[in-house]
Amino acid sequence: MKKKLLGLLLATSVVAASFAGCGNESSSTSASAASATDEAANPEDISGEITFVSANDQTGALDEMIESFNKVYPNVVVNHESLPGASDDIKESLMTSLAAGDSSPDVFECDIIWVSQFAAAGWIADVTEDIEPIADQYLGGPLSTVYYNDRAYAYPDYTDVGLLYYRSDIIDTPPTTWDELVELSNEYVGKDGIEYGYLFQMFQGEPTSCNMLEFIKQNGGQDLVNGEFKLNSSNSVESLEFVEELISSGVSPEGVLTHKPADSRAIFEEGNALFMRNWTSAYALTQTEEGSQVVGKVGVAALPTGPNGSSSSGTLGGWAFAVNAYSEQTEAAKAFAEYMSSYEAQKISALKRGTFPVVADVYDDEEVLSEQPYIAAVKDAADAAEPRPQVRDYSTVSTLFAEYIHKALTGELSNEEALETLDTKLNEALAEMQ
Amino acid sequence: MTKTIKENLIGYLSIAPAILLIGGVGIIPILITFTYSFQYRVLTDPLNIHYVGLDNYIKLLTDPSFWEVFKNTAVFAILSMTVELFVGLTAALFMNSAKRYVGIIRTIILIPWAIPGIIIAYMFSFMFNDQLSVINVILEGLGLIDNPITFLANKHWAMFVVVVADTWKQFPYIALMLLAGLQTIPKELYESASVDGAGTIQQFFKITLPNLKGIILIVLLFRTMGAIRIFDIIYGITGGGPANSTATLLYKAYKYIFGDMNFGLGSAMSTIITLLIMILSFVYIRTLKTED
Repeated sequence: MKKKLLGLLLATSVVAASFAGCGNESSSTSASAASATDEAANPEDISGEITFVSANDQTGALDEMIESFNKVYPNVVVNHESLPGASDDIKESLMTSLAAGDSSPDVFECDIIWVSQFAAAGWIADVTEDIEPIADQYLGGPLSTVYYNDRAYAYPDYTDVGLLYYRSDIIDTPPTTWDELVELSNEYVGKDGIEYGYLFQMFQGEPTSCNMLEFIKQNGGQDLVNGEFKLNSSNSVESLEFVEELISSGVSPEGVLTHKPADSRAIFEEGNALFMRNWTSAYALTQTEEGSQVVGKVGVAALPTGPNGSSSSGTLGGWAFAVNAYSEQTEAAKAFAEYMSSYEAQKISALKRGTFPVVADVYDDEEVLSEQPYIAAVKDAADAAEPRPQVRDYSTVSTLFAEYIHKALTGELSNEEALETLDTKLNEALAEMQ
Repeated sequence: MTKTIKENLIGYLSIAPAILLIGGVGIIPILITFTYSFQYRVLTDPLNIHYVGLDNYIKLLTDPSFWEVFKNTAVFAILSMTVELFVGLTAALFMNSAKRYVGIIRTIILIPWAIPGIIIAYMFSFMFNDQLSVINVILEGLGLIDNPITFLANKHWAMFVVVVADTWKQFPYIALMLLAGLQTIPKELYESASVDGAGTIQQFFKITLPNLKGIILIVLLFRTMGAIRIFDIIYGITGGGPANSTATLLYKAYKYIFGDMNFGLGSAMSTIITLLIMILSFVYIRTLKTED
């Protein structure tokens, strides 16, 4: 017995040692390859094994993109892992590895709102030199989101914007103003299985920040103006009143205060709602998810505007591919991230995941246009999308914002009081970031 | 002489792993947290870490939102401990009087305690979800309500739900502790009491409760610590909402550290929680000693 155990131990240590040997060897060869063929980098010379962590992808698009990558880079092994949950949950899982200086994951899908935070912390690799030569292929908006202090820290993945989803089998023309939205809702609630007029997401956290900023800007309100928060305005107060009215009049369920995007989608897919605010990425899911009652019955349009707003405003969201600053396979990791952000990969992503591409030419691709015609239809909404306040510690801003908006919506503070305190708190926090 | 040295050495060597473990995972992290709490330490500003004295504490204690989560934690602790003690005592009395299937009953009652907190949190968040709530279906079926209650969008209901979820998880522990206490009470006491004509209720208040006092205090000590450190139930069910009404001290500390990457402020918050628990434990232990 004892002998067996000893043998087993020896065997494992030999295997471990040989693995360690392999690791060293491959990293040294790739380092020499990089110095020898810096310009004419031959994809086949790049080798290594990298770990790629993504958000949960039910469409299988990412795996197809990885397959496509391997046709060009046959010697890079990609281990794909996905993390469940919403953006906030994924961030916590990633932070644990990144803060510890772990070399894995080598590449990960990074919400654009983390870019400044992770870059400031020194966790993600500076890719400015790698991205500048190919920067022309990207749309301006998504490209700007990977920059922090004039340096690039990630490759754009897909861009996301808040859109109005409507039941195209019930109404022909989507509403363009809040009044029309309420009117149509009142007309159809109670018919055709429609229980709710409008769904949106006000879970205390990022959903509140994205949705409420949209409501505020749709009505001509502002957030960060020349380095100062100016949320407290009559337009913003009106936006809050509108949201409260949607809930109290029953156009929206009271539960929106607890909803995240997936909750809204579930109700919408049941066929119980006429309108829904959701991200572009929800479209493909409403059409492909098992049990969806609204396949072929969904239209998308720009979000409606309030009485004092001049143009529609959806929050600019989206994801990027970031390279871990501590990765031991930097070259393979960068090659992978760059490929995932290229025309070929973006096309697969658009076709399978229904995401908004970040490479401009994909919008003119005939195959993409015939498969996903809505991409062209809402390109305007994507152009009009507004980023969330681009400051170093965005999450501090978001936490305060969601907290005080919730206090207003639950009636704990008056709308004016909540916005006034919020402005003061945000400007104090901003001063500390300088 | 050499023999005693050798014996001592073996003794020290034997306890060394335990000491290293406790030091490594218990004491050192606490000391590090304590040090961090006096620093400006924001991960997004890595080159600017420095000592700031009591700044973090002052910032916390002068922030109204600190007192808000302090109040939430206190409300949660008092409510959950009261309900848990009541439910736990009832379950213990029931188990104590059970004549048959004793093993099965005890095993079943232990199940909630064996389930991880975060799983319980998600179970309850489904049960009290605004769309899928099985609780609403039951209440409507019984004719108690006409419209579904949006439990988690209302601050009083949200607190109710987290207390119920925590009670479900913790009452087995309390029940088992109290059961152990119940079984140490000599049967003769009850026999002589009933000979003297004391009813069941009188026996409960004159014999059972006084004899359980020590164990109840110990249970309360542990549950106070648990309630002040409550996190998983809150994280999984409400995320601190609505309007921060269920955000607790530890949840806020977590937000500072994992949301804002502000380790200084988060550590100060954690230190305050530790101090709070130490003070309360001290009070309990003193009370226990005077009892003896």
